[in-house]
Amino acid sequence: MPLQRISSNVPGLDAVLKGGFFRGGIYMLVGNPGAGKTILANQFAFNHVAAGGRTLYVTLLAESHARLFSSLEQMEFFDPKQLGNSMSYLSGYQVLEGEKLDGLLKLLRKAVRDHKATLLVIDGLVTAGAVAGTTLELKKFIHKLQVLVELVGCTTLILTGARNGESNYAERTMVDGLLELSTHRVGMRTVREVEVLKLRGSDSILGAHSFEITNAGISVHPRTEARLGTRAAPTESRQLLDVGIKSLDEMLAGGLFAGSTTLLLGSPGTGKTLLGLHFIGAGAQKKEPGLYFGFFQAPSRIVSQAEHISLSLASGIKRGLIELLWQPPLEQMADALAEKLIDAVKRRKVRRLFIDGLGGFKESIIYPERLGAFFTALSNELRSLGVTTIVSEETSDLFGPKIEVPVAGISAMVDNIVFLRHVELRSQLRRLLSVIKMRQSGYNSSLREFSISDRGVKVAPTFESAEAILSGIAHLRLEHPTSSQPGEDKRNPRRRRS
Amino acid sequence: MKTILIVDDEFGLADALSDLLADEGYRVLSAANGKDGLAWLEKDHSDLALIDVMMPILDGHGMLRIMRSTAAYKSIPVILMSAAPKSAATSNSENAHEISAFLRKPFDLQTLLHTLARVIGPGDQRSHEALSTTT
Repeated sequence: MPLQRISSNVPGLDAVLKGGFFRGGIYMLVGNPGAGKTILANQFAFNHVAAGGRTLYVTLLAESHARLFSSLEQMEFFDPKQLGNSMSYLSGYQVLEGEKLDGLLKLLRKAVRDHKATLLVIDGLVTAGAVAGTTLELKKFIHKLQVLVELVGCTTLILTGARNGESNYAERTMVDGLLELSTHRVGMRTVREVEVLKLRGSDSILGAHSFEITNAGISVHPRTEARLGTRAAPTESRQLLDVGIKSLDEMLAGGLFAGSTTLLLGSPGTGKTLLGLHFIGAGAQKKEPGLYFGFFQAPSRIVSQAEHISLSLASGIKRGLIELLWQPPLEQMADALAEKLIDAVKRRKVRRLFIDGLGGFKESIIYPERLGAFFTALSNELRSLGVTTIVSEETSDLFGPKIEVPVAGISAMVDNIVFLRHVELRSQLRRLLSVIKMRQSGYNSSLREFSISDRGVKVAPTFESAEAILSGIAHLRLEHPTSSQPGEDKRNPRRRRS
Repeated sequence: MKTILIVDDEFGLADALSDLLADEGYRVLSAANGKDGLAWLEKDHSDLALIDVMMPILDGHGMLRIMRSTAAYKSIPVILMSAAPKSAATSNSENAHEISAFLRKPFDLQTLLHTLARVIGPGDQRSHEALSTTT
């Protein structure tokens, strides 16, 4: 008979555990003071009670329960009505001090049965360890406890300090699962992480996962690439989605393939955001739900910016066809952002997505080496959800034609790349647009002038105006830049455009 | 008060069951192998033997075989328990058909109590005083 799972109902934790804890199992939660052990255990405990279970919380510390409650009262999961009913707290400190581990075991056996507990939390194993005197005594205690809770079907969580060598290593080999909570300094920022070091009877998502503590309790954010990475690749679609700018759609041989990911690359002010909003606006006209997921401008500014170029988003927003989600680029967590994005996509069955821009994810990811795998997993998930995505990204080169891809390997991760740049001509800044990569399709790779005015965004229908602009600066005419490296002249690959 | 003889070499299980079954109103004896279990049968009365299959010195099959060939113990109900599936755990026992029940470890207390109640009846009024004795 398969072992029954007990959900912690702590957001993200059951996903990391691939289904939750096992009924009657004994689990150890380790971490330094302040790591979040007590909050996690209490959140699990109250969630368990809310789901119909009964929790016994035994403290082995000298700290009073009143003190514990006062710190928990502000947490949303804390339900005082359950205290003394389905949720019972008792102190094992005095029994432990007077009758040692055998006395504590008797107390636990009686209390678990009297309370009909289905979840037992023992907070402060370090005290039991001090009383035990020897590692063997503590191991014997844990083993007896393990047998007891398995017999009575009471899942048990033991809270203890972080790893500090052999002295408390031994008992960790005996438990069914071991979770470690930790905090790390990354620059000025402190990052919280949880890792499942051991889980008998089940696979888990290995490695560290970030988590946050708010008044709602703990939310774990499994690493996006580990959580989503194993999904099957979706089938390719041949349906085309227009961008809503006629000449650009012609350059794209009709539009972007459904489910594709397009990188909109350009220096600041080249019109990436407006072009992306056009894509969302064009979808709303066809009743295709669109989502703007941006980092740098508040929704009100986005709407007014669009209105300045005669692109009305307001009616689409009012009709529920467009949603603008803003994530201020503060101390965000990339995996939390990915969850929020995917939830928003699923909630409204979004077909068109504009991420403005990739830099928001880059700034929120703690370990930069993750970005490639993170973005690949995210874009695969979006593709499997039938979403066509445009993602903007800034280049550092303000005026030149040189293309510096700011994320290593990103050109291979996206299906299409559209490049926007400024050109200075007689003290005037002009914009040029080119399609430099398009998977699955032929496309027009010529440079086109791209203009933004109060009448809207326009892409010149031919390359002549771009030619005229470029004649003002030293240049080599481009033919098919896609078959060359970005920024490289196809006829003479060693020579850079200038 | 009905007496149950628990025979199991697994550290902790006999202790835990002794306490829990005592709470349920059974008198409990415990031994760590078949040889010690037979010694208990010789010197004290048991209403049921709860015997683990895999043990040192004398295993559960050996103890069961001796019990079934000894007139004094022949009628004592036996519950075998093992971490192995029943088919594997009982395949080498010629007396497997003479057991009252088989429990696959890990089992929960309720399963055990239901089985005991079916075989020898429920325990006496629940007592929190442990009445266990260990050899």
